[in-house]
Amino acid sequence: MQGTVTGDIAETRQPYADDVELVSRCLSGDEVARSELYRKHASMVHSLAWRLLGDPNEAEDVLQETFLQAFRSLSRYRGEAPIASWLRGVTVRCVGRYRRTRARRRRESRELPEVIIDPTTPDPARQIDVDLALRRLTALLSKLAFSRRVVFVLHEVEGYSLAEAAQILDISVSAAKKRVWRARHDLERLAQDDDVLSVLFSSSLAAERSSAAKSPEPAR
Amino acid sequence: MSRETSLPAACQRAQVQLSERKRGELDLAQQAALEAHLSSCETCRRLERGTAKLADLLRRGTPPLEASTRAAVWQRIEAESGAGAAGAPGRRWLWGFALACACALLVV
Repeated sequence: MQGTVTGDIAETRQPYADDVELVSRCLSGDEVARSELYRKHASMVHSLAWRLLGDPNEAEDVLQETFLQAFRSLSRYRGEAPIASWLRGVTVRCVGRYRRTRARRRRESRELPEVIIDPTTPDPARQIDVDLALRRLTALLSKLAFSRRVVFVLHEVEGYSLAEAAQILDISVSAAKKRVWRARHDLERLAQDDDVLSVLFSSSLAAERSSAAKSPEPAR
Repeated sequence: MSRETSLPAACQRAQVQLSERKRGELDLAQQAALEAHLSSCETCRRLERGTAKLADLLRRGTPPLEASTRAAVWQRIEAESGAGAAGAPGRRWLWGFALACACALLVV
């Protein structure tokens, strides 16, 4: 996310020169720059918040809070990573605070939807209702320890390396490694109690076996 | 709320290496060791593929930020941050600078 070249000197000296320049303009009170920062990154912040909270209204609240917080603390951005990564860190902290203040209310609203699987369907795995599965997944994620959920979302969903996720979360890489295997293990265990999501796991196995029988995976 | 999990040490290592492999961070010996483990460990294969499916589901199911919502939230941000000096970083910086100058003068 290096962006376009805006100045030869800045580009050669700073890996994230565009971000640094934009932040510097924001800090000088440039309203256009603030609006630009929001326009560029609002969707990313909203997506991350939704993935961590599973609720569109709460994601909207966190979007607002994240940018308010970011504008208040922009002077702490040092240009060592893309501003998007820095904003992800702010988002995660805002989500953490949001959860703490609304934990009780959320727990009450986390009723699982009824399971609806058509008994006439020959292969439920192939007929899985994506909306239902998604609702079940957000409910399942809410049962996963937040520290592990964040690593799962940043690493598995958003594609950050463990080292990058560790940097965003301000934790050690070894802590991120521990959280990633624990998250996977917990998710599998939690999914076993869910007749929709457990199908995803078992269908993975079936697919694995079937593809292994047809042709071996190419060697890496 | 998650109970403490128990996964054999070899599987813990393999799960981390699966992540590292995706980023090309394993050397050949590590890759070979990982392949050997995966060939005999159904748990690790299931964990990798199952969570990858969950991740894909979450990725594809993330709702887009509607333009109207984006605009409405920005209006609220502007209203809140423009309301006082606390929300105007540039102005706050100037006040901090002025205070620092005043302190320096006092010291001198």
